Amino acid sequence: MARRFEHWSRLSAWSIVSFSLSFIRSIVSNGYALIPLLFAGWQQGFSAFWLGLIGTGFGLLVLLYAVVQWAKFRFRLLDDKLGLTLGVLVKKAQEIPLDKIQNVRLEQPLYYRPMGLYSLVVETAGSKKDEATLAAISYRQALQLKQRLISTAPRQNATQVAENATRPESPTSQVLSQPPASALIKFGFYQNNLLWLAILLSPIFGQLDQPAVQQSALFQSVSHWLDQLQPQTLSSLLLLGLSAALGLLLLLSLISILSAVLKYHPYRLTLQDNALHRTGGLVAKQHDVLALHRVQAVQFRQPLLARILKLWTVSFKQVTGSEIEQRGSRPMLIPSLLRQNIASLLPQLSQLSSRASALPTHYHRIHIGWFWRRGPLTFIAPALATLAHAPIPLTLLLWLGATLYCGILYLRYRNWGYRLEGNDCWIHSGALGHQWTLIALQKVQHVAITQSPSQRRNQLASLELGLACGAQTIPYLPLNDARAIAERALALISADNGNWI
Amino acid sequence: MTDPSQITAADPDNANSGGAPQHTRTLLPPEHWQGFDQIALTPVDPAHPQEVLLSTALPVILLLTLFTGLIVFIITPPAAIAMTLLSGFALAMCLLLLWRHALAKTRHYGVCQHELLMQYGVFWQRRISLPYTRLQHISLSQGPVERRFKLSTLRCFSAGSGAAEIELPGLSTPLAEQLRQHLLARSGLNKDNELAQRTEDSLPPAPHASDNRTER
Repeated sequence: MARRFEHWSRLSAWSIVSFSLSFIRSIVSNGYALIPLLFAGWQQGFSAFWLGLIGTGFGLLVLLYAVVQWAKFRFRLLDDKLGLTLGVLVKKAQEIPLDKIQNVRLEQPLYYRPMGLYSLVVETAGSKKDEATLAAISYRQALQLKQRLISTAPRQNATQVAENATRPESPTSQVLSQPPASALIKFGFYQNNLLWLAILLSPIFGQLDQPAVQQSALFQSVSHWLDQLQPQTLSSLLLLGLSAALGLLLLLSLISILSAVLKYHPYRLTLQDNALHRTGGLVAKQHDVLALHRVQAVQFRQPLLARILKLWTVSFKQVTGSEIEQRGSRPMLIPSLLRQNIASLLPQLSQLSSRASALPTHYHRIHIGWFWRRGPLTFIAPALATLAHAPIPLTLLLWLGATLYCGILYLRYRNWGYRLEGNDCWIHSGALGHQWTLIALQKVQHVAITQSPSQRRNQLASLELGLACGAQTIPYLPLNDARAIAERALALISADNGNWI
Repeated sequence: MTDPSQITAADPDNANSGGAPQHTRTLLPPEHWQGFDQIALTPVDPAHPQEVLLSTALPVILLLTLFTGLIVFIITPPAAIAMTLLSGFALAMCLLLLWRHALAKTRHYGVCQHELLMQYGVFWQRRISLPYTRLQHISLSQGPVERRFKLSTLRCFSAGSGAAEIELPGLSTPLAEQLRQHLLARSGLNKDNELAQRTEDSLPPAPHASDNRTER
């Protein structure tokens, strides 16, 4: 098996399907600026002949491009490096050292399911452009490749090797989490994934021509219907608005539940060779692999709705490239865990740099000064409006908004805290929901202490722990605590020459 | 809450059993610690504030000219309004110059045995420490104004973010080059120095002018 992939080989011809689809996707995702144009064209009426001609030409172009892409694509696995040559217009040769591979993902899109083919996605240090996809490989081949790509990974520093040597290697995988569909339904309910959809759609709506929308037949009929209603009193209007909002919320949660089940069911998380393996997905089968020593931080999130159900979402943070790519990357997560589930899960992840065994129950809260610096400022706008004799409804609205915002700020202060346990630092945050972030101080890259003049007087400071997955900040904590955490991190990492990402 | 012993090495079992530091060291009581934010640092080159002043003044003068031209020849508001706008803009630009100058004067750095330190900030003072083992990439750059003053900017990058963790302008070019070499030799980039550093660590730290940090 070791010599199997040594020679340059091409992918199966089925990969043309995924090449064409990714080409179309890139055109569509970059082409939403065309929507107003198409809309205008639709208003004026297209000529069927031209439409057909353009459609056929476009299809042929996509197919041709995909065939050339397939013909130019070669890959091999030699000397602990994954080599790729590809590119139609710009020729690209890539060499990915195996120890730089962050994780390996196995995906099965719907169109590959009849053939039993998979796509293997190789991700390197968080950067999208270094990602490599080997499309349309058979399951056996995919598994072998994955094994080769990941097997060299946990070769970190001397201690880890020693640890591995003393412990008998268990080739059998260990099931960590296998939640039933009901847990995924709960997850979909409390974790509204549609926020992302809204964010993705907003540029499209931004492109729409507002007057054109207002003149469209649908908009007109809806507004006409609303005019017809003529609510007798203010209360009925309020009732209408409330029920509409509730209906929308219900609809959104339904869609969210559906998408969670489609994406994750049947969820199965196993531990094998110190790597997490996640499988699942009804529409597109997916198999993610993440070596535990690559995890930079572990996040435990509990949104507002999840607090009622007492459930937590655990996600494993990895190295990020930049903010833009962070939106695209999907961290490996475990949905719907109770506190006791977490307590039984954490000790099993022995290769994680942190030694935490359970979620902490309490934390040192940050100084109230954080709130006093921000809370009163929110009332400047309503106070100015009152002084300037602005219209009463506007002033009232401003006061209400400021009070709400101030309340949320206060909740944020109440929930912001930290806790040092051995070489692990826990950070608690959130306003309505809760969040624990577990940082193994060994993974810290830089530390920074910032002090304002008033903080200097009160012996307070803000501490920033820089990680490869982004910096974590604890504001307004006692200077001595900030120093203690920072110094502990520095003492650990100054002595550690191993690869931490 | 403010008692440091509460959150630090109060639990020696915990500290030693899991993920503990790899080399032996003695724990100092809190009152003997010297935090990385406490040691005195070296200011950057004295010419740096001037350089910042010049490099800010050039675009400021250009902007001021453009703004004046726009007001006087194109918008042509009443004289009183024009005067207010112009003086307001000029005042803002002067404040910007003063601020940049003051900020440049606060920039300090320190080259320690295990890490590079930097501090800046007029009101909000920020001190950052980047251990050599977490250094991934170093760049040295020199703009046209910096070239005139024979100064360079050193940028140190770690993994994950595209931005430099430490951006240290105002180093005289030979010093910056020397520092770059030093950082390269000690950084995590250089796998070979793992052994070298181990042996070095076992020796007593060499007395060095900027190496004023006590062994942790």
